[in-house]
Amino acid sequence: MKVERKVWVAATPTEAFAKLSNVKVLASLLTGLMDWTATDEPNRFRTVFRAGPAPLGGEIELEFWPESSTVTWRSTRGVSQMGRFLIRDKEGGSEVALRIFYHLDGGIASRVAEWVFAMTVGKYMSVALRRLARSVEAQPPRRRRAIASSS
Amino acid sequence: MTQSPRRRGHDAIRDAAWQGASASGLASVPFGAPPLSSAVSGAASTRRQARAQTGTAPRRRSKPSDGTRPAKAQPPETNGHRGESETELANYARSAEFEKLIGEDWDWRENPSAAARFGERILDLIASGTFEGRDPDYIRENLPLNWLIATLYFRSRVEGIENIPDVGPALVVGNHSGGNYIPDSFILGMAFATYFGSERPWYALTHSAAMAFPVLGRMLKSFGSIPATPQNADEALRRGACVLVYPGGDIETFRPWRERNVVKFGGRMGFIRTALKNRVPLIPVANVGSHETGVFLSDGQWLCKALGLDKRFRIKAEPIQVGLPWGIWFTDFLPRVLLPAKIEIRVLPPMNFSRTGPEAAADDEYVRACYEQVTGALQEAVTDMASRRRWPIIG
Repeated sequence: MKVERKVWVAATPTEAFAKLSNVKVLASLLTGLMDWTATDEPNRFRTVFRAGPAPLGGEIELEFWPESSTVTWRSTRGVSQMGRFLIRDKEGGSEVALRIFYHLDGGIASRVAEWVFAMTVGKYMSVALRRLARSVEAQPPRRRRAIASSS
Repeated sequence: MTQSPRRRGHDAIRDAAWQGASASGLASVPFGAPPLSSAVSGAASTRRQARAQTGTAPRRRSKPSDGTRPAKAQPPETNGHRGESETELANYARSAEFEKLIGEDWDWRENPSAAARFGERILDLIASGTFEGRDPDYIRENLPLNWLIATLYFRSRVEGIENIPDVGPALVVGNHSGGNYIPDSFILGMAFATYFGSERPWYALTHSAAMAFPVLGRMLKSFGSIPATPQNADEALRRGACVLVYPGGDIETFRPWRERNVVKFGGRMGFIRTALKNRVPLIPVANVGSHETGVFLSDGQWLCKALGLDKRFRIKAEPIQVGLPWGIWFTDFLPRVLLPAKIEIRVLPPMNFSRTGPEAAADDEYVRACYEQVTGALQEAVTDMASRRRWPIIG
């Protein structure tokens, strides 16, 4: 199952990426996140999301690609999933696309569960992108440029 | 007709086994051997035919007054009609498996309660060897279905699952609700698997009567159910697993509707001894709403005693309930419509007792104090959760 949401941000892709490349900021954007703990291995985090009746535990590995302004993650434990923040130039600002691919093992019931799950995931993603836009746009352009150049 | 003394003995065992199976409500033994039902009825039919041909009266066994085993009769002559199934049965009767099944009380006529024990042994054998039955892939594949039912039908919510330690064994103790369908157990099991992953071992101590059902039993084993015995609990904890136990068992799960928010362990303190003996944290789990998925008028303990179910199958309670599709009926073994009650589960912080070890487990006073502590904490949580509900079922 693939779920995708987009948002336009009044900032350059480099500025938006600088915001996302901060792990603490990234964690604060994610709605439904109950726990975000760094593991012993670099760029690996133990995550717990609230989705439905019970918390959903897992472990993800983050990857940052400054040259393509992309942040990706892949699950190493828990629900099989892959996510990506994709930042592109658009109409004087940036378009940030958030895509999540996930798969639940099993038969027909799992496909139905994926579809039901997509409603919650989609809602979380929309909120995360709105937060990102607000967070990036709230900073004055000079401050944004300084952060982008330092990262 | 000629028959060896050994053969004659097997006839007695076989007849007795059939009587025991009949008394236990089981028509066949689920092993690789031929079913007892068909084989024994075939043997009885052969004997009836022989009596009809010779015109003799039906054979009656007289019980000796001194209580000794009856003297072996002269072996009857063979009539040459013994079928292949009887040969197989004879081989089966000589096997160690059958010896284990019948145990020492081989002459059931001399010991009336042996029939009851026979039923129990069958249940034990069916449910044995289940530690390897747990299948993480099966659990993983069925999680989405459980998640759907828990989310859409029961609108359930699990809180505090992070109170279970990340590693190591633990004894999870809950109040049992919802009759035989135990929706709370499935939701808690699902929450554990979604939080920690299906690979982390999780066993649930389950009544052997539930595990004796052909399809249900296999499903329960795959989910990690093991027969509810102290030995199994010890072994599971020794393997580093988390073990779920509902000490109230059938008495609690069939409690009447008016007691739906009452923790009713019935003074069963074995779980405390298990936790103390194995030096593992005890984690209480409170739930409300699960018992509103059915309307139980009575737990039917008196009826189980009257029918002898308590002695034959260790079933101490079976409910008299009202609901769909049967109206008012006895027992929860029939399929029924579960009411869409909102189920809430709260995992409480672990309880670590000041003294642990075999000595503490043998101290009755101390065990009782721990029991009161656990039931008190559970009852407090259940009362708190119930007080937040506006309406039954709706939540």
